[in-house]
Amino acid sequence: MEEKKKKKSSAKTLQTAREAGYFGKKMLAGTRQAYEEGKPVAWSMVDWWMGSTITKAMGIELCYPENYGAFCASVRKAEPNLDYAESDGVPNTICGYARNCIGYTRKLKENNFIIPEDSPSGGMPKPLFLLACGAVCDARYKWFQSLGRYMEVPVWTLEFPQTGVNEYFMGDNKKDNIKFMVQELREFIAFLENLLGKKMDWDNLSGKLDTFFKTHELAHKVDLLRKSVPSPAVCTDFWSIMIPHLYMPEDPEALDFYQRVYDEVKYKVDNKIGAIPNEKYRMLFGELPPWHTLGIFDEFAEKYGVAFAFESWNYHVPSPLPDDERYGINDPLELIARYSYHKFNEHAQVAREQCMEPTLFTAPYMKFVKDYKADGLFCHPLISCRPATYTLMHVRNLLMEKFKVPSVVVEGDIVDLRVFNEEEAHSKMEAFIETMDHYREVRKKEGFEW
Amino acid sequence: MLYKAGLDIGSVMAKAVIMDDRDILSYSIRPINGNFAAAAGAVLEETLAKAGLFLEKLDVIGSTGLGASFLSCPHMEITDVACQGRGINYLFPSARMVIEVGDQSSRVIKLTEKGKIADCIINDRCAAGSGRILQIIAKVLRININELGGLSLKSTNSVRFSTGCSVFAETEAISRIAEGTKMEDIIAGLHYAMAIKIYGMAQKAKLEDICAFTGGGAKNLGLVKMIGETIGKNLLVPEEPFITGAIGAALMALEKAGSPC
Repeated sequence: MEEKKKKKSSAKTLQTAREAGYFGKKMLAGTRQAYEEGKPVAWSMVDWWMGSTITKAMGIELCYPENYGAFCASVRKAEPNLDYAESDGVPNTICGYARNCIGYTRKLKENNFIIPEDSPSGGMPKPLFLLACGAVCDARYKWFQSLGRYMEVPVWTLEFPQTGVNEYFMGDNKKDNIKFMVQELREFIAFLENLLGKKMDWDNLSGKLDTFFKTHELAHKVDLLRKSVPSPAVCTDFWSIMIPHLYMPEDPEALDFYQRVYDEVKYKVDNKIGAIPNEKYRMLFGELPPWHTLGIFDEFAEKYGVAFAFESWNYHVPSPLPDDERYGINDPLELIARYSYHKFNEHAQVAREQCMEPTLFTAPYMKFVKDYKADGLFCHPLISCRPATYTLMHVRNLLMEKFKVPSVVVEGDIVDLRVFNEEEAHSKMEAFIETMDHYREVRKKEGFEW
Repeated sequence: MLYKAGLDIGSVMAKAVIMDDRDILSYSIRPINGNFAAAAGAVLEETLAKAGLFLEKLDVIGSTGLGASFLSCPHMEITDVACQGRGINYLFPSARMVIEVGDQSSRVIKLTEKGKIADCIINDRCAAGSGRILQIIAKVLRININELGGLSLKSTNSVRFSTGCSVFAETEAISRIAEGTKMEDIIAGLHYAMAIKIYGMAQKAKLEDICAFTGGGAKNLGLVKMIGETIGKNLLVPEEPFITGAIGAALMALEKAGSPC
């Protein structure tokens, strides 16, 4: 079995995407070096930038167990961690990132917090504290809570309001939520100051935020360029280039990198160079990818001419904050709160127009499907993730109902290779090509633009 | 006159058909017996012999199924979902939905008027929804799989299986036998459990008015009746449900070749 399921990573189509792995390695190496030097290190969840920039401004190096889980999966070395977590009683229906992290942490603790030598990419050092985030997912609460107890380190959970569509448009709802988030951040800073015994360097934070926004503006421009036909970049490119904007957008190297990504993609758009040579179909991918088998998307491109034009709402930067929210705000914490809130609610208007709930994970696809002229949606429901799964079935139905765009469903997991069946994926995609052809005709008859 | 062959080399049975421009000239079905290559070669030879043709006379060969790649002569491999769709469209042009219960998987395929795939729901993770469970329970009951259908039609008080899992269904069947439950009631209960799963899949794809049922499962009259009743349709069943994939493979090979090779 081990022999059969050999590594199948993607070749990627952008040169910059091939170089993006540097940032993941830099992040992990940075935390290990800091740990060696006795400097503070923390583990953070993806928090849609709410607490991580603040943490870094306090001089703490961060690494991200979710990113580490994706990395372990991509080199097909997650299974030993998953097995170790499961042998400790963790059910295999728990989030793949969490299981990988729990298995890894158990090994770390059993090795007296000396990183085990066989840890992929050098491993994550023991954290001073854990930064959790209440956005999106219920499993993440218990995951860091249990890790905190296990490693005997403090856990700080940033609550993140999950606003319903109707509520978003109610009176002072947005104002109240932002106020709540700012208060959360103030308390978080007080926690950090107490933990480290030093005060926040506000100038440092403002400087980092400045770089952060510049990086994200470029990342957003890249997203807009990807509307072009043929598609200048595909999902496997994005899943590489996202590392700097998702995890370290305040790093000047990330900003430089994104300028190069933008230049490369712009050149391809200007010269009508497609990411794949024979683009026949344009698909969306929802939502979390099978990190262990990204090479399969290269195969779909080669066999059927499928370009995955856009993907994974949750990893993308939002559109820039409106000017009055960005430039009229002097408190950096309010700026952060507004931006993170904006990420989750910028498509609320689309959700309202389409009479749908929730906004997150669903409404963005109603926009993507038109903007990126999608012929189909590849749904990847995860046995271990509810938020990124139940919404997919909703999206699938809505895309068909409102846009006559069909979907293909291939079950799997982000990290756990053992529940992904490549043959099944190929056989479903092969049949799905005809389905996309059929619905192109249907859309044409019904007067859709693509 | 163009001659085309279609082969469907499944996990349990190898099926072949030979067609001319319009009609099926011959077909054969034989068990795989653990050797895909031998079964594929033999079933083609047998079908050629029945049609009174030689391999060289064939203009195009299409193949599908798990063991399609084991066919040694030049052929075109085609996805089995598409083949089932085309095969059913050839036999029942009015059908807009196909339910296929094979050994490895169950599928609900929605068809366009040309027999192309408009949607497809596949249950291939779970043996309880596929023909495999029929084999498992036949073995537990120590009867031939072909007897399941007839026996189940005699049931007056079908058992309700409390699980959707084939492993547990097997255990449950053993328990019912030990309790003295009639064999026909156990089989009818099994058919009902399968029908419910398939109904769920058909609903997901939005049930169509005219539905066909094919694959090895469609040879089981009890299952045909149970699925028909559960989804509330009179199912169109081919005279020989095993060969619809092979028919589709022959038709699609010619479509894809554009002109004879």
